[in-house]
Amino acid sequence: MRCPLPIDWLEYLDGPLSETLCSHLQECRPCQLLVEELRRASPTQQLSVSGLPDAESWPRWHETKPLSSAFGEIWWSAEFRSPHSDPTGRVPLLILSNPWCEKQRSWVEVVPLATDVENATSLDLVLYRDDTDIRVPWRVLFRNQTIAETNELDTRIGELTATGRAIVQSALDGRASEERFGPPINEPEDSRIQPPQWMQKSIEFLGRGYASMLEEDGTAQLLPRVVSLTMRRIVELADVAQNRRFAAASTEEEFRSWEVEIPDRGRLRGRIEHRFRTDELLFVIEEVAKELLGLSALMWIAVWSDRLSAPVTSPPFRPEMGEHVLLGDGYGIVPGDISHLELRVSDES
Amino acid sequence: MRTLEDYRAEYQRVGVGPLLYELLGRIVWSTARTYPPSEYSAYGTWNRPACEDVLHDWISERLWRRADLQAMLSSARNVGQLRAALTTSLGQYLVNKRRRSIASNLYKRVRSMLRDDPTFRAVTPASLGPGQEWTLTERAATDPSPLAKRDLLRVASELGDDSLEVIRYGPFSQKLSPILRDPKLREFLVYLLGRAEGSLSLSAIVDVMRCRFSLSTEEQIELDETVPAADPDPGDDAVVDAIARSVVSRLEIDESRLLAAYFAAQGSLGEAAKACGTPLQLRKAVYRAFEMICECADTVEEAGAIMRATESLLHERGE
Repeated sequence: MRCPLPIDWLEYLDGPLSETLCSHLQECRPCQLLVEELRRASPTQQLSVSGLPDAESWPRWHETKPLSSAFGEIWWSAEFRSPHSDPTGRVPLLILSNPWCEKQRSWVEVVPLATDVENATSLDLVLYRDDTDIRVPWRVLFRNQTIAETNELDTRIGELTATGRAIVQSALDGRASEERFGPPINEPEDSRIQPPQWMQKSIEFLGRGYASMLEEDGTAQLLPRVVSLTMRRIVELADVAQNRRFAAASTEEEFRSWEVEIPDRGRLRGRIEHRFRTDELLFVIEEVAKELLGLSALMWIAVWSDRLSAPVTSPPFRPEMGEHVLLGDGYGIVPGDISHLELRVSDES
Repeated sequence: MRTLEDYRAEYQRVGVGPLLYELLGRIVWSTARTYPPSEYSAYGTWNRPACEDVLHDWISERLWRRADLQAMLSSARNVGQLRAALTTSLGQYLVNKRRRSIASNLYKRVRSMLRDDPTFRAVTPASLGPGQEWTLTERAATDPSPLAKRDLLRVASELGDDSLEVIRYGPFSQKLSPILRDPKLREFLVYLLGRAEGSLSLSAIVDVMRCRFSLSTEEQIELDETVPAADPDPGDDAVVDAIARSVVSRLEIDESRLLAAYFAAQGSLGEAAKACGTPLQLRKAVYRAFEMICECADTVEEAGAIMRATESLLHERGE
């Protein structure tokens, strides 16, 4: 149960008595104190300030309804409705992929945007004014990145500029400067863990469609929503000679692995293996680091390749060290063909 | 009763016109009162000029410059959602404006220490202000440090929070957290300048400290030397009472019940959770109250006094 807003109480004092407010006031100590304070401060004064921005200078976002969305565009989400609550407001979303078709439905990767850049965490990329054509600083809430059905997008309001695209791409690749991110979360009570209150409900709805598709598919049951996280490719050069205790001059060998940070849960790292005889593509988990919420949630890995018309998704798994996750078989895809990997996590929290 | 379409239409025509202006003014007048004026108002009271200042700055800094009003008008589905979003925005604005003064305080303390302590010496004229370069007195080199911010941050991180006895800004820190007490601040500056391989400007030092100690700032801080410190007198019961009232009035009804249960359980989260059966919500409500109390307390004793006043306010019967 939420209390009325302070302005509601101001109107309660100024206007005719409302039965709902009266009965709330009888029970609610916080509101009683606020009403006492407002009574002391009355009468309400008409505030007057000068030097406000000119009428023409107020930003006005032009909303359009193109048939399709693309990477780097900024859209309003649709409103979400449920039988038990009021429809949610809309949320600004940055589109992180071009649409793809899966189970005859069209999907895109999306991440919510918020203008409260001062609340950016170490997982939130900060976009400067020049990074978008609507010239507003945003924080990109990568913690809440997910997959939305394209019909959950309402209207387009802008897009990333060339510099913005480069920054977002570098963040997805794990190469963005740390100066573009906020301070880390130091304690579980840090209020920045949650998205801004006004968008929480909408974010809960985003990603449910994809989760329910997985449910229909029989791969999971009663998933609340799915959070999608881009996996970063890590390239390491190792001194092979030293590793193998050769006395000869050192030679370097490239090791490729993939890593992903899962907010509040931990980190996964592993390598891709291909078994030629069976044409199986596998993700071998080499490192599991657990944090606050642990890594017991159901997960999937989606593989993208230029040789595939749609991403291939692994069966669900709960990560354990040394586990071999089958990404797919019979596709003729080798590790070098993979352009993009995503970890999809059932957000059970 | 105005509709959302009335507000949207006015915004499209003139930006903030009479309708929106009245709405914003009433939100400021009513919402500001839930924040203790001794801490959040430059005037120490929520009178008309104080509210007008807040209204002006909120409109300019958030609703206009960051396009927050456009975003809220586009996002909201009804007037209630718009009013709720504006109320949240104003609360964040007030809190963040005050938090910026933490970084400002740090800047002043670093500058004073560099000027007053013979361990440090300036290598450029004072007229450069934040750009004035500093090094250790024992150092002969006066060239600016070649290290990038990232490298300086690495040096700054070599001294751990424990060894620096960091008082971290957060739910359980103290008001206008000093981050480092003076002896530790001095130790930190000596360490940083000793490994910077050259001199550092005051602004570079503070910038590194902001990152090292997670003091985010919304924008560049303009220091005004004429503004007096607004620390309340810890012994002032009236101030403590006003802060406690503001803490309680910002709670939701369910939170206030949970907090009352926590007090009834003599401050035991476990016992209170048994009584109310909602441990997660209980913990959230208690920590939220702690955070609000600590934001306004200079000392542990003052936090305790506010806590006691909060407890008695929750037990009092209202109207």
